[in-house]
Amino acid sequence: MKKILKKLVDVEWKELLKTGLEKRFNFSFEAQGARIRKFLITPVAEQFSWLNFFGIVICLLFVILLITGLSLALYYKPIADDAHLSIKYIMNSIPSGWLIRSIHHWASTLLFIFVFLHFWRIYFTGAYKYPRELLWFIGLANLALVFLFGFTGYLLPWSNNSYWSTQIMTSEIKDIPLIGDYIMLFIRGGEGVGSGTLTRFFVSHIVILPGLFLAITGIHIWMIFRQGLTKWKSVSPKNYRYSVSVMLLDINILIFVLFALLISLSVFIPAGLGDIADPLRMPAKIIPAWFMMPIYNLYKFFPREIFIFNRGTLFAMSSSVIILLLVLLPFLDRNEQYNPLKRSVIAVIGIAGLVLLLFLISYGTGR
Amino acid sequence: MRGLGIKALIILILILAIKTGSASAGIYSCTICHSNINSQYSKSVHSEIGTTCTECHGGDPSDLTFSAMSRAKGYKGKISRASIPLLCAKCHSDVKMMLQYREYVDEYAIYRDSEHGKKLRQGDYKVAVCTDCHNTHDIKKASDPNSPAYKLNVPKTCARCHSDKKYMEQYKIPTNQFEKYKESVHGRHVLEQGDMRAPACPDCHGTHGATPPGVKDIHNVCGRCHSVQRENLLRSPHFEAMKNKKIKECAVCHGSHGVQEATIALFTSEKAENGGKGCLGCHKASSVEYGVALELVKTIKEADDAVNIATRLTQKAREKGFDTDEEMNKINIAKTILLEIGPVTHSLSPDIVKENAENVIINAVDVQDMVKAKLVEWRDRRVTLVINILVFLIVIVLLAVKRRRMMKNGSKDMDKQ
Repeated sequence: MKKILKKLVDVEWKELLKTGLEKRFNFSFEAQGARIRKFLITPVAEQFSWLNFFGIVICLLFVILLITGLSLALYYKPIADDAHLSIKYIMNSIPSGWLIRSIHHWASTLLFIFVFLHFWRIYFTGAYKYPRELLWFIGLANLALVFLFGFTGYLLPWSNNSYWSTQIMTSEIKDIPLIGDYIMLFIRGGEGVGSGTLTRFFVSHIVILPGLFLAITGIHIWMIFRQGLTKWKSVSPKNYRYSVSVMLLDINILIFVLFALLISLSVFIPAGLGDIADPLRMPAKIIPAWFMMPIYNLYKFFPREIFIFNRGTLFAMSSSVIILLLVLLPFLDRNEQYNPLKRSVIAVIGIAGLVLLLFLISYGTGR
Repeated sequence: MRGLGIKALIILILILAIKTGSASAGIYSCTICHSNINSQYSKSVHSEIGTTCTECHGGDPSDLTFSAMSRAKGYKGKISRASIPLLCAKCHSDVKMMLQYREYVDEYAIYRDSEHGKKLRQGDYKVAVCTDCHNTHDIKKASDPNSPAYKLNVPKTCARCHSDKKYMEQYKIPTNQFEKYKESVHGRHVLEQGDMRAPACPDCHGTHGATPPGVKDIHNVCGRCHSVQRENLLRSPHFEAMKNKKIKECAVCHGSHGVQEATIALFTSEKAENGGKGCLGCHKASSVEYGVALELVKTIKEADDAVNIATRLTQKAREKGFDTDEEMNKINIAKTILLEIGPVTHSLSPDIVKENAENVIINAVDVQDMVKAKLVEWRDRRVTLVINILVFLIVIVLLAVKRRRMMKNGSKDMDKQ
């Protein structure tokens, strides 16, 4: 026995692993090491500024949401009778459950903020132009997915406010001509918001949407690597010094900053829960999640009827026009310049849109 | 010329009568001239069940001439105030007739014995008769919100006469009841909140048998709603004393029309805002009775303070994001017992009051302990946060230093390449 042990100790494991891998997989540590070292000192892009970090922050927040979300899913019960109680259990009985839920809550809030910032950065720096049209379309799809994440996640605590705002938001869909009824039934999983809706929203929130988001974001990142970053202002030679290794270090710093921010927010303003959903008690003030306010307010601003069009038709038409304009933006903006200061029309439209968006978010939230 | 005018008038009446008659089953002459009354009457409950003008006024509406309104045809004309109650009673005291509408038949009998009815029999026609509260032609069910007899409208209906100083002059009764009632706890509930449970005038004075409650009946009248207060009053030393000295029971401390929510200030004051008296209004400050009052105040205050502290702490924990449902349940239990102390004080027994107060304090202290534990956790969270943030800051600074070095070395590497 001693002899066997001595033999085992005498074996040079490191060498054995190295040669073993080299023989079997044609894998050379030296060659790979040299390749990685070369990659790490490669300049990231000709032009890299802090504005380019918005996308990275979104990815980091998504990873945080994925980890905290999966932790919450271990205890969450997506049934109308148990959903609210299970969240209460997470908040009160699971060690650090309140912290995980609050981090999830604040990470989703920050995600929306950074998605908006990322969108407007792309818009103002003309990053949607040739040859990045496809990247723009995929980004728009990601934007839609983020909204769906928020919409489905808001109902899951099954609080009275989330229940009634989902009830109202889904009944708005009903007003869309011809197909409105079918879409509403499909989303609700029945005539009213109930256990069927909750199960659908839960599955969408933790399986379908994350899967789609990961796939689309993967393609999005691959495209960025292939096409590089947009050069929207004159290049400074300093930027050539910004290597991959420094960027990875910056991402590390960013992770610590994000965690410090998320934990501080969670401690000082923990995620609330509100009263349990009660289909017989409509709250005096129903306020949807802040990121859904633009859609909610846009719908409300339309009169009940203009000529033969009802509010739903008007909303569907205006939303379609906005979406179509966004999709066609790379083809509508023929200006070859990237700098927003040299694209006054687009810049003015963008600022007006930004002001409108902020107005639609803030309008009525103080009720 | 005059004859021509009369002929023309008769022709016009005939044309109108035929026109009106064609719309209904037969000719109905009353509405030709009294169309304004008809428009009121058509909205009444009597019109709904098919009662016609003749039931009250007599006459013959099928006759298109003025003889329709002749004594020979039973025409009574405008009904005198003195006859109104009896006229209404003709139907409303008829058991067979009222049975189909599930209406009471004792209104007239009760009215006769009311203050209004008694005075009417004595020849005072200024007192309220049926039409004063129910309207004349546009009579609606008392359950109809448009009826002056509807519970929420009754105070204003009574006030039409009882707030009129000139009208009430000869009766030598006060006219400020409505003003007081409007500001009272009962009045605010009825007139401002539309609370059908709170009492309006008839709940204490009766409806058709309107009469002021007698001195010894007050505890029974108030006790119809405030039964626990009454029970405790009956076993208190106050009850016997009030009975013997003919003191107005509940009204002495709480007032009558201007009754307000009772607070513990009543124990230590001489006069109350509601028009009633505080303990010092009857008892001397040096008396044993006032000592009991002070003891009650002390006990109630202790319980109240404990609940207030528990509520304040719970609110604090709630603001920090803690779930406080369990604490709120306990506070509600404590508040319910505290609420029960009010009625119990009518017994004037410090022991009974103390027993209730102790239950309040036990619940409140429980809540305080539960919340304090949560607030300690909140403090621990902040301490942990500060340590975490410090660690993060150190790591960030170290990474920043490393980054600076890398930028320098990276530049050299790139230059070499």
